[in-house]
Amino acid sequence: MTPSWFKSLKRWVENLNSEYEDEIMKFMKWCLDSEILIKKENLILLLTSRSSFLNRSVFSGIPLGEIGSRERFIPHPEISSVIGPFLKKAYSSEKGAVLFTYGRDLFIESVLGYSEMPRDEECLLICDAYGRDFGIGRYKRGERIIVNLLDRGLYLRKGY
Amino acid sequence: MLPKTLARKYGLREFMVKRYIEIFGVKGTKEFLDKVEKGISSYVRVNTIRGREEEITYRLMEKGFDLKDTFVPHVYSIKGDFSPSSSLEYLRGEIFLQDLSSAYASFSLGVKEGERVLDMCSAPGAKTTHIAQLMRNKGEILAVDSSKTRVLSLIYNLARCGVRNCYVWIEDSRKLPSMIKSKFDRVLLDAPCTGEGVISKDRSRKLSRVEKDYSIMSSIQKELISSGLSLLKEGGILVYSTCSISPEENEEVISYALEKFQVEIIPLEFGERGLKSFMGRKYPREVTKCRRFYPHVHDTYGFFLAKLRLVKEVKT
Repeated sequence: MTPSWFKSLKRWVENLNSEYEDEIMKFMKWCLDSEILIKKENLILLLTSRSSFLNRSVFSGIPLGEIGSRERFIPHPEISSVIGPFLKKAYSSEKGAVLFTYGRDLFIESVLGYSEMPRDEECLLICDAYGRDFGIGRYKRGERIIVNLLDRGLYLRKGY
Repeated sequence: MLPKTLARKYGLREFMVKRYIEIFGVKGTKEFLDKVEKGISSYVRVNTIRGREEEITYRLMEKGFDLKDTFVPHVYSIKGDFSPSSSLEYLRGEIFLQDLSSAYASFSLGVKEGERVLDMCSAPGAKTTHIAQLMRNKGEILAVDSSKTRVLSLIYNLARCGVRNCYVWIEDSRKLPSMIKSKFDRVLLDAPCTGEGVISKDRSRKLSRVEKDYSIMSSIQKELISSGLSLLKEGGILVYSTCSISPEENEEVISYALEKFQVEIIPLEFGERGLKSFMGRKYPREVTKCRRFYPHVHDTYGFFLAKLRLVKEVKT
């Protein structure tokens, strides 16, 4: 039986409006069936190795997000390293990338290029000119912006 | 009169100044306290899990940061117009802000790929992420800390730095020998301490401690080092460190380990020698192989470091 937290994760992936949604969910389901996608406390973790230490551990592997109130999936910045390969990329200027990590939206003027032209409302992996990712944003063609959904500035804003 | 005058001038408790004079002499104490007031250099460790060192340092220099090599590989002193902690490199986990002496502790552990390593008081994870980097994310690290709040910082630092070979437990490390049957190749014990060495960062420590704290911390540290040595394989390495310069928390704890366990001290290349005596207490000659770091001498926090090899395994 599929756990309820996995359904929350699925809803979040569907909301990305990615052309590759099926591939992402196939991968996630495979991870779940292989028991490498697990829930520990309220963290959703993708295990990268197994050990006898795992049973008592509160953390290991890659954190994809946490389950908040009403079973809502709240993504962690590291989820971009897992689903990033399935997303189209927007390459931003340095200034745009910095502002994006402050939680701001990205103006189309700051975008240097795309790996593939996105559809309206599609979510993209935001990278700098070197291809380093900084988060995920939703492309809004009419408003000429990429709305910030998730960024690495969370590490500072959350005070970690 | 002098301790009282210096205590007033630098806003410290008088008993602390008396202890500093015992360690450094009068001239050394003034230099130490001046440097503590002035502050030490900032250091960053380049995290090679996240990228190539040359590319990361190039990008930092492009942003106007001035980097200088140190005696610890991948660690640089850094100067710039803004804090490196607000840079994109920090957010991507390509750099970690870590004091040079702290990085020397994790470096001295001498980990190899594929080993089993225990980090006993691991949060917030500066040394843990460094160990993972030196192990190239292979093998396994058990990172333990008793504070749930601090473990959260550890988890996010591990995630930010791309560490994949670490298991985190919330536990009092003194209880570990009754919980773990297998032994470790290496153990890092960065013990909780009075934090006397980090006054330049945390000014509240100037007045927050009383004399009794040294002996309280010393007892906890002795329990922790016993626990760490019990979990070590024969021939395994334990690195003991504190960010304190008080001998009760350092030389005394190592003397205790020498007396209770079959261990030897491995000398380290950098740092001042451990003390032979302090306020009438004498320590074994071997303890001078431990290393001390001081703000006014090494431009680091006050720090203590000892590398021990377990000669004969402890039966548990």
